[in-house]
Amino acid sequence: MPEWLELELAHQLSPAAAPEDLWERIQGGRPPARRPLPRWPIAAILTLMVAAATLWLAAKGQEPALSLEQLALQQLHHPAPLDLLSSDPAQIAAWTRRHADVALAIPAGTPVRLTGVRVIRNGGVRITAVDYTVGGDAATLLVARTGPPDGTSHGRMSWRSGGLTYALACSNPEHPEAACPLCHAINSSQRSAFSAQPGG
Amino acid sequence: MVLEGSDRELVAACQRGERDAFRALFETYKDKVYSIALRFSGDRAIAMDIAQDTFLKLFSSIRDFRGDARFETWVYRLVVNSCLDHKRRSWRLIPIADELLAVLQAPSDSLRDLLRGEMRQRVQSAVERLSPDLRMVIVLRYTEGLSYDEIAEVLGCSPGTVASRLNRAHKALERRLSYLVNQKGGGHA
Repeated sequence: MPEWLELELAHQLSPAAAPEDLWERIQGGRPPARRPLPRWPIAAILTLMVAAATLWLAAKGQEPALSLEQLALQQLHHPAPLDLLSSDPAQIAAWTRRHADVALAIPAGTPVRLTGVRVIRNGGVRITAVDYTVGGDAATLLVARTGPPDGTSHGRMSWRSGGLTYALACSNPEHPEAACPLCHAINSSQRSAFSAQPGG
Repeated sequence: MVLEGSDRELVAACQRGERDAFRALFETYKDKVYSIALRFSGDRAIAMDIAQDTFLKLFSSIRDFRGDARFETWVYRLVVNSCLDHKRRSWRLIPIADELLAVLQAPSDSLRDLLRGEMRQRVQSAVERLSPDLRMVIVLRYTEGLSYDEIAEVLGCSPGTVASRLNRAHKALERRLSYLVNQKGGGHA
């Protein structure tokens, strides 16, 4: 072994004097004070778990609406045949209630021009598609029953309310909100059930 | 009993339960016990835990000491076992943070003190990275200055095993600390 290492070890590992309070600790007879575990790993793990849960819940909550938005765009550009050709809000609402178990109270004074309604199936879920035009733009509203009637949320072109998820697509890509008057261009007394959380 | 004169009387007094004898025995061995604990663990708080644990075991089991070995060897065995027990129990989550804290808390009155502290830190760190078996022979050899035979008696192994462990420990430490020779020009701090 090199001499420098021998000297270094002897020097650096030399005996040390015991602290004065060692005897008091022994007399106290208390068990050795275990240093508490650092709290930051626990906090970090909890934070990660909360973040993961939040993301999962958010993703879970948004997924139907997002996929429904995509489906609405698909139906707008490649529509399936209408099951009912009608411009009458009451007739469309009645048909929808009967064939899709969805209550759509489209106000009579809506400024949009209804075209008709159909029911499509996506992943085993029945979805109601209402086609209409507003100004020179075509629009499609999709409504799907996605869960119990608890909680509401909304995005720009989709929203949830009363256990139903709504998604709107408009042929005007620069102003998709042009499709919104189906729900919004009405006074408060005529506000429809599905406009409780307006997304469009 | 294989006891030196003063130890023999102290141990006998402790075995009779005389309170002052315990204190005297503590005063005799406190630095040895604490030094081994400190050099083995590299942490003052842990060394205090180990020392306290060792003395509690010593006082509670001193009636069982039959004198088959030297009393000092018996004490060494107790502290070695406490060190290894603590090592098995402990889980150092943030050794780097511990070391950083130690550096921050260390008094640094002068650059010399700082460099000395840094050197000690590096050597201690290299020793801490040894396996517990190798680390213990290094501590007993350099902190307590025990011979190969004495280390073998404390650890309950052969002197050949002690020599082998010391040789492996030296090689590992030389490899880890050789860069200090270049920094220092081979001199001793």
